[in-house]
Amino acid sequence: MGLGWYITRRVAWTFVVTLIIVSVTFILLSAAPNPEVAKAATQAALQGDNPAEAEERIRMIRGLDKPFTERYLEYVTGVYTLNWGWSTMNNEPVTKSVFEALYYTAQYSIPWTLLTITLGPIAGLYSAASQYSWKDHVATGITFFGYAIPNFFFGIVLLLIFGVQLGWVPVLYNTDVPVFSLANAKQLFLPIFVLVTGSIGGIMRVSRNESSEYMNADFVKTAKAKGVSRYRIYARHVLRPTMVPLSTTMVGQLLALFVGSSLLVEIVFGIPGIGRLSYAAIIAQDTSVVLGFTLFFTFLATISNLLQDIVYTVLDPRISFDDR
Amino acid sequence: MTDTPLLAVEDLTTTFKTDAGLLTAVGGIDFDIYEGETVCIVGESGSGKTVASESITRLVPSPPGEVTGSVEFRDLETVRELADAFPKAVFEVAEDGAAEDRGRPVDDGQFVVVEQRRNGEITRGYVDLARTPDKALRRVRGGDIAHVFQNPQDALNHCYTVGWQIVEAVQMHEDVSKGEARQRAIELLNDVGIPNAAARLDDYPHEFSGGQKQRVMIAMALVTNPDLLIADEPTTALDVTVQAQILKLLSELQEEYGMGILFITHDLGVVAEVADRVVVMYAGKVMERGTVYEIFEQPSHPYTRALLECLPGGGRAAAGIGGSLPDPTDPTEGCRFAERCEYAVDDCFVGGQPEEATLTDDHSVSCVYYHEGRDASVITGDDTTPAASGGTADD
Repeated sequence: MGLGWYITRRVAWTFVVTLIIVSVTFILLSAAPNPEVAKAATQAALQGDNPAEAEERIRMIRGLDKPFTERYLEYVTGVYTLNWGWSTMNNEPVTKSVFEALYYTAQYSIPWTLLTITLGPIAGLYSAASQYSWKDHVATGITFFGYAIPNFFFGIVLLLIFGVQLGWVPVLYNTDVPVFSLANAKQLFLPIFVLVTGSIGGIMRVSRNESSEYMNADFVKTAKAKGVSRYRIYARHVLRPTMVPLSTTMVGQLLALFVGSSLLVEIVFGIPGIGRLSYAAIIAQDTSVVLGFTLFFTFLATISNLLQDIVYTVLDPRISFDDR
Repeated sequence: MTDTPLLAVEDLTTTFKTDAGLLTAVGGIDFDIYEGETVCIVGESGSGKTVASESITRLVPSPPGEVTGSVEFRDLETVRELADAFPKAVFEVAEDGAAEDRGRPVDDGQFVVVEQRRNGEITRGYVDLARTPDKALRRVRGGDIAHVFQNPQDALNHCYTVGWQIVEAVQMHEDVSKGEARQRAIELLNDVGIPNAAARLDDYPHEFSGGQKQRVMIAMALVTNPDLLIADEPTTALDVTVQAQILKLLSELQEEYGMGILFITHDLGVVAEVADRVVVMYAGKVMERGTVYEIFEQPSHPYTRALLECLPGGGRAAAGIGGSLPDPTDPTEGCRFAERCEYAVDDCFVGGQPEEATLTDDHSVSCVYYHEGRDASVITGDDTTPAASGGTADD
């Protein structure tokens, strides 16, 4: 069976996880007062109509008069067939809103994620290689600065300096520029920079501690005794065992950043991505959209955790899913 | 045995900067290893023998470690190779033909010392490993001087197959294809007695037993046919039956490959089995040295005698030697062993470690009782002990 079977079952498991989350959200949502119904009733009352009648009408249009079980089944099949409902805010299907926002989020998220997962471990390794020296302290100091300063605040400061004062980067995000162009790179530079400095600190720190454990390991001494060069020892013999515990931290931290910081950064820089969409949806009480990105993040979290488990077996052959 | 040693260690000192102060792990020791012979360094845990063995090719982490002294490696092939690769580092002692003047280079960057050339080719010389920079030292490590370590459980990287790790060792020193390197790895695994070597090559270290891992380590050490193998307690972590197998394997391989072995151990039983010559170390200093017969038949230093008495049936098996090692950050005056020595007199607590008194050509001992005006039979308990000749090692 082996790894293939394990992955198959884990993917199947993601469906179960989403089903549980979908069910819980559905029950909570049907218990909560529906803002759309309330709005229709208020409007009817203001225009002198019968609010009860208006309520009835809107319930019928939205299918809320059907029995609970039927609505639940309809809703669940909708989730799995990518029919996530109607966004009252944007007047379009929720899937369309989510995918459109995703298009902008991906443009800066993929670069900063890649930068963080390559630079973070390298910075940690660099620090560990010269532990307690001034190099270590400088590297630690810089990354801790990025870790400590709130992303949105740092973003505003940078935007003021480089956008307003120096005019090197555009202040307003322009959705019309092509994805692969200098103009796009220019306007995405600051958000990427802010997110990388914010995320690299924690990863660098874990990587520093983990790799310093291996810097003086017996097998590193063996490699040295074989005549292996310093840099090859770092790259081959230290980095690899370090990545095993580090990958757990990375997945957790990156997910937290995705959900939390992206939102603030998108608002500061005016990027119409997932973060700003979810923010707008919460303000506008557009429940279908809120549910849409909840589902998206659920998907992201389960897939990331699966990837992390697969990365384990690749990095450390002692971890095996053969008998699971 | 030729008259020039393969490796001549002089005044080897290894210190570590620690929060508690400067720690002197090895306090200036000398020893020689000749081609094809086995030299054992014995001493209790913490006496600095492992650090001494790792100081030869400077495996000790630096900083905080610092190695000084001179480590003359006299393998001609290595001298020629490094002289070719680093022409600026070559120091010529004398003109063609003459080999007598043994001057030392003043420039710290000159680590290849050529003592004699015939028709332009180096015929006598050495590489001073204590001053060789990392870049050049890498060619020696694993190439001419190989290591086998104490704990095979952790000495192999758990992330890579043993084949990958042996191939890496081969390719560090020879420009061969991966296929050829793999072929060599299979032969070596066969040589060290791993059954079904070709199939086991792609197994990971955790799929091998402790004894097999040590065999893999030995195979890895042999990839480039080293002149000197430094084996640091290679059998300590293994159970007794496996120990015997590994010792047998090492002596067979020594015969096959003709390499010198520096064997570090605290186990006198192992010493009796493998050693040609023995160096007894205590707290970073040499207490006594001699051939294996001299050490076992005529132990002359109180410490050596106490160690031997600790062997089962030696009369001290249950009691041991009272006390413990002195603080390495605060070296005491006089003999390092004085505080635990039952024969200690006032003279033992002044000056440095007593100069080595020569008993025979090979046998010398660092103890005040062998200096002029003292009676060494107090220690040896009989009067058949050869009289100390003069009192200093210079005789």
